[in-house]
Amino acid sequence: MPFFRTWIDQPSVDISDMPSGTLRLVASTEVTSDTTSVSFTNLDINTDKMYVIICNVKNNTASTSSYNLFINSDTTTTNYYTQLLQAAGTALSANRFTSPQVLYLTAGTRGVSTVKVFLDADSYLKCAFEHLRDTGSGILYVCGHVSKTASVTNITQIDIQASITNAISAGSTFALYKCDY
Amino acid sequence: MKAKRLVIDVKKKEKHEEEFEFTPSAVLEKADEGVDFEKLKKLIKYAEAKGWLRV
Repeated sequence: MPFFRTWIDQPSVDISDMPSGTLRLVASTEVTSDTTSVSFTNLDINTDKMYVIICNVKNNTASTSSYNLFINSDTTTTNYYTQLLQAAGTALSANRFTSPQVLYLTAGTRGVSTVKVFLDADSYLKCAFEHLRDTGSGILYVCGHVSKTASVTNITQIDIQASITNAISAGSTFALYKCDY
Repeated sequence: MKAKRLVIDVKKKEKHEEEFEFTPSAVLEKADEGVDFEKLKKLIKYAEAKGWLRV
């Protein structure tokens, strides 16, 4: 079938040319040796409005790990809540607990979580995540909401931290985008 | 316990590794037992057939 293709001959694009509302890559990294936490620092959500973090994580340890999203160095899990919904075959289940869990991997598995981070109109953390894990007939779909019990004036740091040591294994990647509007 | 953290400074556009004091936290179950809708439908049909339930 014939088709037409349009070539746009523009050798470089200045990021300032991008219209607001566009996702722009702020930082990305590949983990080259097993680590426990990945921190994005010097953020400013008041200016940037929204962050999208793509966490592509391998857990090569012999233990199950959950992965928490902390802001502004507040790593007290009970200062956060997670509400999640999980689909496994025809079974639907839900849970809520006091920790900011955006990912959960059993030993030797991998998963991807797309995490959107906002402040609501009263400056409370609102984080929506969509978590895809396992393979083959065991695939699971998990989505959820993380919130913080107290409001904040800004988000300047985001940490993705495993619940056990070195559960962010080499080969994991993280990309942080902003979407000012 | 010491653990390793990878720090990405988005303003300075630099990365470094550092050690931090780490306390392993509880691994929470991803969800409770939940509802299996296929089983629930079978249960409702069974209860209807037995005359125990009218929907």
